[in-house]
Amino acid sequence: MPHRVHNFNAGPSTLPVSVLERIQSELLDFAGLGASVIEVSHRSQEFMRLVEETREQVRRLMNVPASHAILFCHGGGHMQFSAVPLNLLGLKPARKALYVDTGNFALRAIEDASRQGYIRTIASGRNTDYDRIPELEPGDLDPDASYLHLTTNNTAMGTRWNAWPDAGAIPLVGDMTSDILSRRVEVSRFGVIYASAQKNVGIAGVSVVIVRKDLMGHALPGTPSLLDYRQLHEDGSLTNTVPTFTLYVMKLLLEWLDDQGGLEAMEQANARKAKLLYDVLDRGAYYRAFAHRAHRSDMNITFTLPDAARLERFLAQAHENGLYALKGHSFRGGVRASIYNAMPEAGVRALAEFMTEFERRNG
Amino acid sequence: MTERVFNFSAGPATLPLSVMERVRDELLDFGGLGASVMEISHLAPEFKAILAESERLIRELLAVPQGYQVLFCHGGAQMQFSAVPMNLLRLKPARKAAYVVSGNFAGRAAAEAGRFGVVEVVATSQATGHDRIPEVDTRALDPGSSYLHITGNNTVMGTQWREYPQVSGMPLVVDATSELLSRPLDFSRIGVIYAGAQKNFGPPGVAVVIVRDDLLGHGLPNTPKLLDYARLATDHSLGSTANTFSIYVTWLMLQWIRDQGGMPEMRARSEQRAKRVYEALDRHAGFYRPHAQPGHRSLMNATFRLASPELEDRFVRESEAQGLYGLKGHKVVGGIRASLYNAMPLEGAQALAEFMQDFARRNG
Repeated sequence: MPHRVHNFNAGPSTLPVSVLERIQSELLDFAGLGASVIEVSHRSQEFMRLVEETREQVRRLMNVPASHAILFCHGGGHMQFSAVPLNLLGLKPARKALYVDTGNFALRAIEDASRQGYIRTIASGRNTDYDRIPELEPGDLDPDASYLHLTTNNTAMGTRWNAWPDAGAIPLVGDMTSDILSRRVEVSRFGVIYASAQKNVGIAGVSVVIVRKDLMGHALPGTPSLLDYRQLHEDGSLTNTVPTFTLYVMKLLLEWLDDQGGLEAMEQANARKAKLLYDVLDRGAYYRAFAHRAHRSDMNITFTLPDAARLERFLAQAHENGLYALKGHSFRGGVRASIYNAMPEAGVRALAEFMTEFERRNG
Repeated sequence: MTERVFNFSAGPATLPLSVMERVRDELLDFGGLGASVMEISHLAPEFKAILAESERLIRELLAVPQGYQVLFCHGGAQMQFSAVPMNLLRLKPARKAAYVVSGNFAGRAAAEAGRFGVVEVVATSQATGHDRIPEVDTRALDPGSSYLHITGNNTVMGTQWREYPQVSGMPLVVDATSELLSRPLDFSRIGVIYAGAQKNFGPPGVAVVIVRDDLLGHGLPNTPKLLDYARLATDHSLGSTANTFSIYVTWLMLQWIRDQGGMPEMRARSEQRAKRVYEALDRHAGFYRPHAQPGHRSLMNATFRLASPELEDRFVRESEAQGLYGLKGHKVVGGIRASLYNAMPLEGAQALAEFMQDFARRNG
């Protein structure tokens, strides 16, 4: 048996052992071809079937309506920070978009979009140190805006949106990089949903983009072909050589997710796992949760300790105990436990026990 | 397990068995971390070491001089079809670029650049079905052009520049997707050279871009951050989550290339492989109809037709039955294409040559 830790990385992140073992067992021979999945053409029948099946899995698991297309795009969520404005700003003559600043990655999305048009931040969590999702004022929903952008789960902050704002006719765009396929979402509420794969659906290198079909075809002049949603849709996402291995791992992850009982079961399991940690945090004043109770994420649990010395000791001793990568994002500091779909409940229990024990010894 | 085939795919392409076995063996536990290399952060010291070591190996293997950046980008070479004009057109006020159209991908690169500025096709081999590298009079180039773009090896056509042109007054940009790290380079001629990894040095999902320092910082204002060379250089290619697995396999491939003897050895092997296949073609001239003119033949991709599509289908079918995989030509040229990149063993080229002779005898 290979040595395995409990890996709380925020992404790339842990994968189910059964998936890793399957990859390992067929690494040198994909689909009986006598060649690895890494070595076959993205246009071979076998691989094109895999792409089609992956798309169908996403459609089925997320219940994506026929009004929306499912694309696979090079790069992760960051590439979409540019692709979204390039594709959507042209929907209205003002080339304007509305963003909600809920933390680090929302800020980066705003920064990148600002290269393409007029970007207005209509609400920000900055005043409360991003411990919650800010309230939107209905008057801020400027009807001339081409879209409204949200970050549905804030990986660095440990907060999430629990209800979607009503933006009327303005298409809603959701960066779901750290919570796609972790909970049920009514896809029809969104114009565009995007997410990189390396948190809940596989490994780094590709993003899933779900686009309402009437929003395609408005790309700004000067949009790179590989970021143009309509082009990708016409080409079945195979405009050029795709990151084949990344898509292959995504397909295995989706099959695994299906075997676990689909999205509803996954959502329940994620809530159960998160509760194990939040219960420890709420039991006393030793650990301090960053996120406001009503906005807590089930994916990234962020907290801090009474002082810097104990924080350092916590991280070092956790590591020694096989609890890996708990250091918080540099933007936030403290501790962050990322517990995506593939994190087993046993890993979360181990962390909860470690936290209890650490508090007892260092209280 | 099915026996390993000789895989002549044009890319993604075959990898050395020793590399694949190493990937397999450490798939669940990389370097004693207790996690797969796919599961660790791109900012973890272990991954940063892989990236830094990959860069160092590229510099060593290609003798990249000081004053060049080595960048790792998402999206393969085709993303560079956009990135190159976005980064370089503004070098001169006319926002114009010169392209040599020597085949399918060169044509796509030129068309994509047209989205961002003025493209002048300064030479094309279209009239002869791209069976050769067209002549370029580099002294006649418009000095107002920001750069000259060529495609070093034409994967679809099976043609290759013997030597890159010497250009003055503007940088030379080379799409070396299907030849980078198969032969030594003369950087005194090169401003930018780029390649998707999935042919000679890794799996798809990452492109290596080598850029001369003075060409950084001229990007169009709307250049996406992840395509902006200056930004990638500042961020050491880690401005976003990198394609960690592809870079890891690339790192293993670069070590393999070094251990085999580096560029001189890679070039010698590709000459030997190509010689086997072209000799078989020439021995049965008439039966096999090579696409490329003799002086322009690629060492990477050998392309040829047979008398009829039916015969070509039979060739593909029978070769596959003998463990020779991926020989069907690209849809633009049709016929047969044998891709003979770094990781193809000489025995593979030999087996193909023997099959070709046998097939010609039986069907000639």
